Amino acid sequence: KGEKMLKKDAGNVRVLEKVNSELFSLTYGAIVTQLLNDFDDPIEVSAQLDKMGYNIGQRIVEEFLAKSNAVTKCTEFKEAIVALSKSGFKMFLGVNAQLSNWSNDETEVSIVFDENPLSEFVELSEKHRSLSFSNVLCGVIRGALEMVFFRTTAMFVKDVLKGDDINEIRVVLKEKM
Amino acid sequence: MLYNFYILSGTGKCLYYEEWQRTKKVNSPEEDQKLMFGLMHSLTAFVTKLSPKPGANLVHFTTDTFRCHVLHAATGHMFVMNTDINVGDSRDVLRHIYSEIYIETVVKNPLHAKTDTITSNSLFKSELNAYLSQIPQFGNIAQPQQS
Repeated sequence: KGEKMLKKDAGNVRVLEKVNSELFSLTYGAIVTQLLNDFDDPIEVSAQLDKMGYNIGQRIVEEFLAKSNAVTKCTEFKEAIVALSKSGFKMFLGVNAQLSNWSNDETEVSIVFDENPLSEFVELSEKHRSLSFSNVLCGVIRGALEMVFFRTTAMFVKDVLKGDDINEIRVVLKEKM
Repeated sequence: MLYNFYILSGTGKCLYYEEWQRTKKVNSPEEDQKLMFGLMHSLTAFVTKLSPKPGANLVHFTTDTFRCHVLHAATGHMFVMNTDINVGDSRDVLRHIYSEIYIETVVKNPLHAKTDTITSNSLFKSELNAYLSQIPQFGNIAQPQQS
């Protein structure tokens, strides 16, 4: 159903608005295409997507905190990234994500997910091999974690679009602010 | 009775201030806001040290003349509200202000940068006042005291 909905139940708790997933992926695709026209360089487009995601992440994190009833502070990186992958991906993308490959000191981890609604209708042509199509997700993760005081880097290491069997985003903790 | 309300950013900037009943006027609101941030900052640090378990949060403190309620958001923002001592636990009130008013009218506004102060003619102010005036124990807040 395409229309945006805002439901309020008896307890006056807002249920998250849903938007049609095709509209969502096509809109995202249109943005990426426009960026490709504007910049002509897949690497630069990936960087722009990351930047856009960063700005989204900085805002979306507050919504996440409020809706998941986890308003107070995360003290550990592990705690934050578990919440992000378990509830955040489900809440905003409707997909299940798993964590794997923790480094020994618990500062590096991979977020793994099979389905990616952003790239549902996408096939990468040869000339766009170096484009990280869903790079906006990395930006969102980086922006969201930075708002709760974890400075990180995030990048796709496996991407179904590039022939891998799963999507994998590697998140590395740089600094606890 | 509701006295006043602050939103302080994690870096000490006062993003929003409003008062309803504040009989004792302050000379410099800026200084008052800075002091409030300093107080909250040190109290929070102290509370964390005292706590037997990690992750303690300040909820409110009470003096013999007023009670100060706090919500410390994970993003570092602090929502602080002063009331008279008959007002009980107000975590739900601050929680509602954060998740239903602040996020909906401020965070989701794409033109609002995160360090901007919230202007006094904003949607936030009207929604905040509409919500607070429904809470009986805050008394009549419809007309802010002028004197």
